[in-house]
Amino acid sequence: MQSFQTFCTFSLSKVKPLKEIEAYRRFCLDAVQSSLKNASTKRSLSPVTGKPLQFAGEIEGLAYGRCEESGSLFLSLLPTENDWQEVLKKTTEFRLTKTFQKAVTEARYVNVLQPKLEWIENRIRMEEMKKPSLIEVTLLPSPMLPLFKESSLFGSAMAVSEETPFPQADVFLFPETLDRSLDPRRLLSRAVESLRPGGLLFLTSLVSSGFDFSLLGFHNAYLYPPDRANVFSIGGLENMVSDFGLHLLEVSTPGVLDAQIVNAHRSAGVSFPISDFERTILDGDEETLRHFQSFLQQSGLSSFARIVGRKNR
Amino acid sequence: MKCLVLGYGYMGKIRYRVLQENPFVSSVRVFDPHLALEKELPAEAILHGEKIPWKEFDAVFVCTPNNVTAKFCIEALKEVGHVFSEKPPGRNYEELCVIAEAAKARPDSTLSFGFNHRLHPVVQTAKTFIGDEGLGKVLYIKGTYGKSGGKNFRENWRNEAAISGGGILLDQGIHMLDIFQHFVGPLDVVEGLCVSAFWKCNVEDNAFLLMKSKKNVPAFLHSSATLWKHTFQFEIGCEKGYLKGEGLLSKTGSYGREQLLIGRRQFEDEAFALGNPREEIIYFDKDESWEKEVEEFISAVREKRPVRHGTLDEALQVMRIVRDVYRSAEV
Repeated sequence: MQSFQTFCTFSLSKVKPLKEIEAYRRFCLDAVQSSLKNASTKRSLSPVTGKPLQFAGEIEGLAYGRCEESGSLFLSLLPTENDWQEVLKKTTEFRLTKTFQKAVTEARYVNVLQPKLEWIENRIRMEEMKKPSLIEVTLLPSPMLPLFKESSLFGSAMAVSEETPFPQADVFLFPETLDRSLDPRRLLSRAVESLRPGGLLFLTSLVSSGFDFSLLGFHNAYLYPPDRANVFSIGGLENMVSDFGLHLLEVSTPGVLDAQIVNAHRSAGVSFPISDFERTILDGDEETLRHFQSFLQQSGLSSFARIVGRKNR
Repeated sequence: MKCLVLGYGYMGKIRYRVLQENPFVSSVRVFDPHLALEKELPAEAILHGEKIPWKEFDAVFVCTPNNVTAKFCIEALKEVGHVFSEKPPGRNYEELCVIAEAAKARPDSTLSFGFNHRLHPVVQTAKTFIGDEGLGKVLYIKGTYGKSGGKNFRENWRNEAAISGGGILLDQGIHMLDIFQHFVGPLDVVEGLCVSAFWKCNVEDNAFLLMKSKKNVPAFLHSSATLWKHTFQFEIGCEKGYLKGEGLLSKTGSYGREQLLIGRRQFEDEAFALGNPREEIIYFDKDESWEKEVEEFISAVREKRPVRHGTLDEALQVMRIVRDVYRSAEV
């Protein structure tokens, strides 16, 4: 199994600025709270282990349960499937029309989308796959789809939303898809079933075991449903993917924003427990922060995770 | 398959272990005339003084000192047919040619040589990045491979020309030559320099080779027995990026963590600062090169086909380079 480290520095403000997500976050919380008024079920068992969740904390009354064994966090109360899809639709529309994501900026293209494409292309090359078919399970429209179609490596590419039936494919991509799924185990199961023998599953996720999530906890402004209805730990994700018989080819946390995210919260006046040692690191100069981020990447401790699994041939 | 391992030193022990784990190998016996004591040899050994029962075996693994490699390869080809030999394939190019002649006389046989480094994950992964759909054409390749020697290095048979046939280039650098040719095809020597800078044996302890491929891709190798920090490194410059391989997964870990750095060409319009492009490192944690080598040999024998790597042609190309460097260089 391989792990990756990236040497890529870009500013948080260029891809997901803390100040600018406030309105979106508000909209998301309101939409989820509203959806729970109709009907809701309590999620009492961990999708990772099947064991009972323990209360972990809440965001404006929306409780999260913690899987003690894996450290993953899950939104406790869930609306109906239809209401959830409605929430996802509305929040996507808001995000694409009223926030910094209304246009794919050059910074987002260079720092997020292009590296994601290269990651997938590199792996396809390493596995010597010829013109594989790719299905991206995501919130539509997909900003990655034009890149996949332009690439010479794929035989075909399509983007589908979670609720549509999946055709057979050689490659499935889940870009933070499990993070917002009502039933991540069932979603994973459906994808693995539709994956051809030898096929690859690529998934990205923001993980609770990472530095900024660990330090900020429920003070983390980037923690809100529906986008983070599920916050797996890296170990929890690994176990869940392995449960479905996929051979893990890569488990990595190549994130570059952990220290920046925590510092952005400090600058915004968010109060959260922080030790003197952590403060010393976070107050360090550029070189210190770069080395620290590098350490997080190498050690599997960044909050951005990538996993690639291969189905048996 | 019933296999015989000739020589039970460092490599013989590795081959013995890997063969025992191969599902198509039913038995493995060992012969090593220098290990007469029963306790030094596994239970299935042929003892010193006993005749080797060649007919009993389907394949022979030659893991002997260089001065007897050719002799045992030739005899094994004649008596058994299927032969796997450790590198170097003899003391020099001429000895390999004699092995080649013996192989010609057994067209039904499989002959393979142990250049396992090209099966290390760092090399295999790097290979997938080269070419039109990856980082493009190779512009240059360079490498450093060396070790520190150690306290008793001078006394080691590998530094006695009559036994080894050469120094560090033949012993270790030869792997990097094979890797270079795996990336860019056959190479010709432009210039070579061999010196005995520190160990003062009658073989080189440092070799510097400048080569070029048939497509004029330049290649440079430093092979050394005076690298106090064990080093395995290669760099491949390509049209659209670059690859830097470093470290080798090994029992001692002395060559460092095996990793491949992939960098992209990014000019001012793409990167914040020219000359500081985005890079990614892949860390590898499993080396199956020994198993893959033996698997390929065994499969080739069973399927009655040539091996896909470690071929006689590849061995001849590498030994030709060593010959040309030794001819032109001074020690």
